Amino acid sequence: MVLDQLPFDYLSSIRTWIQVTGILTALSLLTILLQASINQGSFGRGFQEWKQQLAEIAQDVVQLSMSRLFSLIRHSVKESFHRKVLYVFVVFAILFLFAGWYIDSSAREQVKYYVTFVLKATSWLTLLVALLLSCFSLPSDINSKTIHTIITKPVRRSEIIIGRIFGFGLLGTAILILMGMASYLFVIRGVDHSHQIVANRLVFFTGQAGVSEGHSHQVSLDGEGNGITDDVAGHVHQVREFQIQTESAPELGSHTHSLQISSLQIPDFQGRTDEQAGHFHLITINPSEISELKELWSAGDKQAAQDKLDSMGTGTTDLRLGHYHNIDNYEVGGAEDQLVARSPVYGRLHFRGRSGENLGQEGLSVGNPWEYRDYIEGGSRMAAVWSFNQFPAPGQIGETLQLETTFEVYRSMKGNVEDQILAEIVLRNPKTGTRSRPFLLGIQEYHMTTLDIPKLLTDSEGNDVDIFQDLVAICGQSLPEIPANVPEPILFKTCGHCGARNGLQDQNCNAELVVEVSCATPQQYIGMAQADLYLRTDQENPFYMNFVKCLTGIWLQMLLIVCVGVVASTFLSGPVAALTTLAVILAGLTMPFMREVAMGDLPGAVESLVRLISGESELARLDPTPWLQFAIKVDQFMMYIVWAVTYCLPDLGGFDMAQFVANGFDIPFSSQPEQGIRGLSMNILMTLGYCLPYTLLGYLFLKVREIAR
Amino acid sequence: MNEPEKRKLIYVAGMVVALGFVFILSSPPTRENPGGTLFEMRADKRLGEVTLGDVDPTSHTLNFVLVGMRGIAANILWQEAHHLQERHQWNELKRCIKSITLLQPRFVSVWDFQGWNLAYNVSNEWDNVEDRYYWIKEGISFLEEGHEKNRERPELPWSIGKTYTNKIGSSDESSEFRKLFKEDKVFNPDGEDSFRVGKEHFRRAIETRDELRLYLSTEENLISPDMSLGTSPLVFQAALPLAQTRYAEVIEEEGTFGEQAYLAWQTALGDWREMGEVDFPCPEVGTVKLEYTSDERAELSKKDFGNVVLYWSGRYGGIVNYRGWTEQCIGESWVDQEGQYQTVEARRLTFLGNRAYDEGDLLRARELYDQAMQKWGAVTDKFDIYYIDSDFVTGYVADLMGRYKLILTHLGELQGKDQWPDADFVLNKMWNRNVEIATMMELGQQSKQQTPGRGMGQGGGMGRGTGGGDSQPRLSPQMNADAQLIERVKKNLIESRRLRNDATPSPEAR
Repeated sequence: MVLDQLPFDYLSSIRTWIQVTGILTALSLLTILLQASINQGSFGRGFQEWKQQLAEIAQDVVQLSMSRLFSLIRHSVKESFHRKVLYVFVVFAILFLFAGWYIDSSAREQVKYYVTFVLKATSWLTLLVALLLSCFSLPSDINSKTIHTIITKPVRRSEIIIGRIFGFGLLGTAILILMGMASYLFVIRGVDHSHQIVANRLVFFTGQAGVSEGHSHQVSLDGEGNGITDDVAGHVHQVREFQIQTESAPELGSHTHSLQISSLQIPDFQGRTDEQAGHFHLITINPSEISELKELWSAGDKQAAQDKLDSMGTGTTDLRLGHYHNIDNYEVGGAEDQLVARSPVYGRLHFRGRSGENLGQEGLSVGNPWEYRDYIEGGSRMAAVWSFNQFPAPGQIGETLQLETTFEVYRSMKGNVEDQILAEIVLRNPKTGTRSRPFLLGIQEYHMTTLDIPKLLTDSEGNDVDIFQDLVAICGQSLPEIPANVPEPILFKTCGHCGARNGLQDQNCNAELVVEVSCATPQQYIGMAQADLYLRTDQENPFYMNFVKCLTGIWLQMLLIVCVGVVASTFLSGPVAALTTLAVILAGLTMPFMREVAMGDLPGAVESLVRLISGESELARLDPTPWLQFAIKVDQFMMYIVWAVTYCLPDLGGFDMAQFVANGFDIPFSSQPEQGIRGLSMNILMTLGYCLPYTLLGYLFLKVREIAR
Repeated sequence: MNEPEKRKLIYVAGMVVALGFVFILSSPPTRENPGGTLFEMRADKRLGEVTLGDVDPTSHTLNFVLVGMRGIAANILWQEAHHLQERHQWNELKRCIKSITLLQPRFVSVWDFQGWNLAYNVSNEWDNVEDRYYWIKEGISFLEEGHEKNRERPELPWSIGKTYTNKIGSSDESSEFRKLFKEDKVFNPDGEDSFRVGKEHFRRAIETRDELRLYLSTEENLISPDMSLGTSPLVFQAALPLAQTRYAEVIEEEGTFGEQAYLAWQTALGDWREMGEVDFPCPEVGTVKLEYTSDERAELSKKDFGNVVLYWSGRYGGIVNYRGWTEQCIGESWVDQEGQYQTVEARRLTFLGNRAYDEGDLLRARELYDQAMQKWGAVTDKFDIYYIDSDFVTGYVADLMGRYKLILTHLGELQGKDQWPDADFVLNKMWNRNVEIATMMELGQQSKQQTPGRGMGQGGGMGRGTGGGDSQPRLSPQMNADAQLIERVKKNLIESRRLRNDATPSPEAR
């Protein structure tokens, strides 16, 4: 999965929030003061009224009545039903009924396709409902004067706003839950697929035939000993029941070869499946069963061998596109491990140069326009070094330590195209310097490749090494021990590595491990980014949980839009409020672009107009005339406004967490600022952070508006 | 009824009348009714959706939903496709370009460009050969889909044919791709050869082009059907025989000889001859053919513009190296008077010799090479094309010479690096003769001559051997001057050869 968001900082985010909210609040209060002064005709009287209004505002905000709020929520829901909001389900149903038109069932990465499709559809439809509900309700009430029936009752204006937000939010939640359930079923049913074993392709035995006429052949045989030899000196031999048939060859004449059953090997893969959903699998039939079969053939017990052959046929396929299939009675089952939610443990990446120097976070560039990955050179000391300082405890990983990688390669020459570029991976203890033996990994570009490292292995000199005892730099020593008499609060965990109790980490102490990756194929290059290598732990959440987390992101987004819509509708007419909310949505979804516009070095709108009229290119230097200076100043002012606006609008892109679900990664609850991952908790905070001031703003607008006075 | 209501009623009635009128005009034909005028015109001008190709309901739904914003949506999708390609998100890229074609299913360039993009660019980005092959298939399937939706257009089957022959058949990884293709029971259920499949697509393209040509020639305003081909009509047509020729070459490279190879070359010859019969549009004389029989030539010579026709026939033939290829096909499928395949056998013996050499059996390799060279001697004596074909000599012969030399060195029969046992050694002869011809050509080119040369470069896949043909008439003072210059170059060459032969000691003298 590509993680290309920049690292962020919690504290500075909170600081910015306080600043922006503070400025907005101050501006609002100032506006009210100004309005009061104008109304009263003098600043003194205006100030008195302002104080009075502030007191009212405080009362409105603090003294909310739950029963009144509940009635208003109920009213909003009822009103929405009258607006026939449930028609959205018709659109939803049509979309899913005809989804087959848009989804290519023969394409690879079905999970990605389906998950992205359903989550995007759900997200857009929910946003649409939120927008329509929230923007038109209040203005139509004001227009039709039905608002008078509410305003004239002892209801606070704050309650009207909050009631509507909660009411529409509640209805949106119900719609989202139903759509989410339907989407989940659609994904589960849609992505499952199976394969057929390609007929006459199972090879149980391979081996070398005896030498005859100065040459020999490789044989590939099925479970009954039938097959064919390879082509040597322009001929092949048929093999029937382990007997190589006589064949006439040019220059060599008629001849045959001997074949020993006992010398035959069992290949790693016995065959392959057909191609479904853009891929096929290699098949492994249970090797112990094939060994038994071979023994029966060797013993000459033909009938027993035939029976054995019929009774066996269990096995598994290789892992491809993130899933595998079980095989039972020579039939391929459904996809396994396809819908997962990995909980990866990420490390920090830095590069080592050709002479072993530290290059920081930048390796070599091979000229790709997309500079996400940096490259290391083969046959040199260059390496990519990942430091893991949150190494999982022994109980958190399975039988082997799983390293998953998604490297890219760059060939400076083609070489043998069938040979994979090899990565050499070494685990190292950063404190003691103990190194494991190197592991070679053949890189399959754009596929996820897993390297299983046994917990007990050997170092480069052949000595036994235990990952947890020798390679992980154990923590604890430098941490202050908690005094024994201090009662252990629930937050204090025992470290899985050193047994020390510490209140600093929620998992383990700073257990460190370093993984070094170098390119073992000379003159070729391997490209990697920080998120391209991670450790996979056993503690993974089920797929449906991840789906729910993703829906939660959509839910938060929907709440935000409801809030924006209701606030906009307090001072704008319905259509204008809807357009404003749509603009907020579009700006929120293209926030990185907005920031680039506001803070980039590109010329602004007025300067561009000048260039357009004068026919000057973007890079041409213009004469610094006073008019141009003025144009630049105007641009700067407008960009400043855009810049300020970007801080007042939510970045909705971060709420879309479908990428995690589609790629099979768990959506983390807590954020990982170093990796640029915005967790669910951050999204909740953001929703609150925007909704609170927005609601307050909406309330103020409604308060100052002349309704039924 | 009040005034507004009355007005509305009039509007509705007007709409019903107008729609009814359109309905009658465009009604499709039934048994009793020949169909409306609009329908007839649409069918006649081939503008109806159904006559263009398959109608896709998804595509129509999308265009309907977008209410005229199709252009904007397509632009955004193109940008998105570019962005996805830059970020190596290949599957998403495919999904995105599928969306573009949903919006613009009749825009052939989209299919053509993106089909090529998938089969060549995206395929090349993947490291694993099987993945590369997968993306070539994706490209071909994409082009096929485009053709289904645009059955009248010849470019797409031609591009499909090109992908089969160029990408699967002739790229750096062609041996792996061809093997994968042959074993791909889903994509290629009959286990056909990629060149032959490509050839069938070229045939389909030519047939489609011919249909289009026939249709357009009946129109008042003649639009050239070749305008849309994206390439010269000659190159378009030559792709078919070239595919067969490459097939014959490649099966021999892979070790298939005997009758199969002979038939492959004979078929290639037939295909080239068939092309020689095709009329190609020529601005100066209307149409020309690449091949004229002696009777036709005699007939032409009686006419005023006969020489001009023959001149352009030669020029056009040069573009696709028509003569070179036909001569090679004749040479490769040569059967002597006893009914023995001579060239095919020469290639088989060389192939076996190469294999023995690779296996380290030098004595056997030498024996086979000696037999092969005997055959090559006979072949090259009979067919000049082998001297002129620089690819053959600098590739095939030079390789053979290198191996033979090494064998002799290993066997202790060759002392010095540049010594040869026999001045009449057949490869030596071929090499020297080729050098002469190449020098002549080079000198000719330096004097900015329109000499018989390579038709198209290797990139175009057409070039080899002679080029222009022999039918250049003396038409202008410039051309007279050119011919005189060629004569001068030839004389110089003969003189220089004589001098060199005099300077080189004979084998006996050594």
